[in-house]
Amino acid sequence: MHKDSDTALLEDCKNGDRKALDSLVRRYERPVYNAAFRMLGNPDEAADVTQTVFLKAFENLDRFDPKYRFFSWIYRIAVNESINQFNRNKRAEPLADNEASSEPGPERAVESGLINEELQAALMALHEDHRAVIVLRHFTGYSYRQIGEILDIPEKTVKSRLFSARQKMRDRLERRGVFSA
Amino acid sequence: MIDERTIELIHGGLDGELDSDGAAELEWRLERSEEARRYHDRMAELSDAMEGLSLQELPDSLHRDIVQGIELPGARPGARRSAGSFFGRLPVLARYGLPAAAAVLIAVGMYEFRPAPGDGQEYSNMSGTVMPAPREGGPPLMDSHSFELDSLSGAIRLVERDDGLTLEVSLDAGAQGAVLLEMVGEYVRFDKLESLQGDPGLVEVAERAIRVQGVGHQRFEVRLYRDAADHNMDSVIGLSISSDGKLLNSGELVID
Repeated sequence: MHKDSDTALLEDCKNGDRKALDSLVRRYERPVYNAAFRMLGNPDEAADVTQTVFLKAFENLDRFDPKYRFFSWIYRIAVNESINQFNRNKRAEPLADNEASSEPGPERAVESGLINEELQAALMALHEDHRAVIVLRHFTGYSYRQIGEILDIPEKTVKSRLFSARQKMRDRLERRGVFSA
Repeated sequence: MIDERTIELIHGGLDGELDSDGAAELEWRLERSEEARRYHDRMAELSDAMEGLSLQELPDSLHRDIVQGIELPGARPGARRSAGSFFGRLPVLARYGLPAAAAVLIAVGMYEFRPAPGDGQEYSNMSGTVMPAPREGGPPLMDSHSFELDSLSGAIRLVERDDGLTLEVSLDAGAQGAVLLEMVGEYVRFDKLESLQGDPGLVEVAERAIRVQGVGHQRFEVRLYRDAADHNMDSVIGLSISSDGKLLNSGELVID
């Protein structure tokens, strides 16, 4: 995951090199944005979180231990910021259980775009801890070990959360008629 | 009932986490259990659907906003370009608070209008919003606001160029010390920073607000456009200049 070049770019950043900063941001901004988007389901909030993630990372650059990998640090901030934002949203506006409403039949479920919406809704219905492992696995492509490193949890916990999250998503999508039981 | 080992192997196989021994064991287990095969197929279908979700493109200005918001060690002292709390909160403010903030800004203060450099217009002793005639040889001026206070002066001009509306901002803080220029749009959206001269400590351009903070001479341009859905409403930019929390000058620009 660019470990060596990340380290070199970080060193350049510490010396005030804004080109290095630009390169490092370009490398991670899109996956961080996509992870935040899938965690929050809202593009504006994902953009805010992405900006905050990089700001916090570079504000605390002197606290970054180079024996760890930059990507795990920045994704950990991204996940935490996304969860914080999600919780703020929950406090501001409790989520309605939209599963009971607008039951789609299988015919509706196969309409273009609806599956994507249903998948995102199923993702949002998960507990944040479960959503985080799904997002990191499917939208950043990290291995179990790397996800454990990012979230600072044992690999065994990554697996159990991932398996459980998938089962819950699958069950919901079957109830919604997106997948056949 | 599928045992835990089979479940672990099925997910591991879908995630590419199995070595050859694990893959062989999974195959063996799937051959022996119809229930395991059904579970595998259900999870594979979900996994495929997840992989089929498209990656989102980054919003246009996000990269620039991120990079401009970060201060690196070794940067010029006082030249902080921070996304900071104001910018981070702007989307929320823009949705709920900026129209109200604009109204407050517009209501506060007396305006003193002076000609912006090169205007060729006489605005002395005028107050309120002015709508001068187009300048010869330049883009039509829609509105402007100038101020001169001790060691602080500036001009904000709203011009209509062939390619759209542009806000031209010139600010000379001189020995005033750090000043804060804030502009808040009502039924107008700021697009992007077009040019930047000088080295302001901070220039933040969000959809509904611009914030400039620094010392010395600064000049920049910002593209903007009216809200299409609100063409029946006046598009107004409220502006305020302050230092150390004290309001020094305020005004408004109206888009015709």
